[in-house]
Amino acid sequence: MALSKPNSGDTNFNSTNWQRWFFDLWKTVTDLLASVTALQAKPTLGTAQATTSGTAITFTGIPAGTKRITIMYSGISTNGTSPIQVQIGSGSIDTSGYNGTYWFSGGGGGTFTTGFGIKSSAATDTFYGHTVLTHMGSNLWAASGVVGILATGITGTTGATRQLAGALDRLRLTTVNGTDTFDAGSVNIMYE
Amino acid sequence: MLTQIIVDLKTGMSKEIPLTDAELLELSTRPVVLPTADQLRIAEYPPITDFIEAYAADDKIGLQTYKDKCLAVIAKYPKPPKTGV
Repeated sequence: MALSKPNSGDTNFNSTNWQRWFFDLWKTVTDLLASVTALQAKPTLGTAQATTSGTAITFTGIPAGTKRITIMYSGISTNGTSPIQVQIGSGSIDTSGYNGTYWFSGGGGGTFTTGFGIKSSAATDTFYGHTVLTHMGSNLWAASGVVGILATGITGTTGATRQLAGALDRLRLTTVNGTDTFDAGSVNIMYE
Repeated sequence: MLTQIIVDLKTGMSKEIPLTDAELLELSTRPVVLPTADQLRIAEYPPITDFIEAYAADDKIGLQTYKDKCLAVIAKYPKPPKTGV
């Protein structure tokens, strides 16, 4: 909206003109502030969840329109040797149809089709790091990440995608066999 | 009893609940995925810094010790024989 200040020398100037000018000025300023606020929208950080029990940690209620999700791991381990993975879903968790791999810095790794592979191997491993999920459009999500594995001093990398039928609203940290139980550490997510 | 933890980001509440019968049935049908020999070996090889330091110092005993540890890991996790044409 074009905003022109009333001319006090204008013979048509009156209090109504000023009220109108102040109203327009106020609306312009508030619109500008709203735009700046939108541009400065910050990621929302969840509450860290202990991974000291359970076979899976599921985060629900991820809002529609989310474009990026960061999943953070601190000192997580399980009581078994089944690989760790992250699964996503719309309404329910998708347990197949993932395209991607997990790779050790020291060599080795594998293909994951049941989730985004995070790490594999020994029960004594505790891992640290994060996985980032980004929305490519049309409910196609890409995942990448790096975790450090304390016991062996190696890192694991992830690269994968998964197409969902609808908007992503949940994700799950679990194991491939689904029966190994988490016994240490914590996980949190941040979305934006 | 196997359980899972559900975290609702809208309320900030979390709860731990048992797996349902349907979920347990689904788990029982999953194929067993065993770690490969490479994955098991990497987890147990001695630190590469042991080799570097022994090599730099021309420490023949240290190099032999490192080699012996690696060979023990290789023997512990043999690779399956290669098949193909």
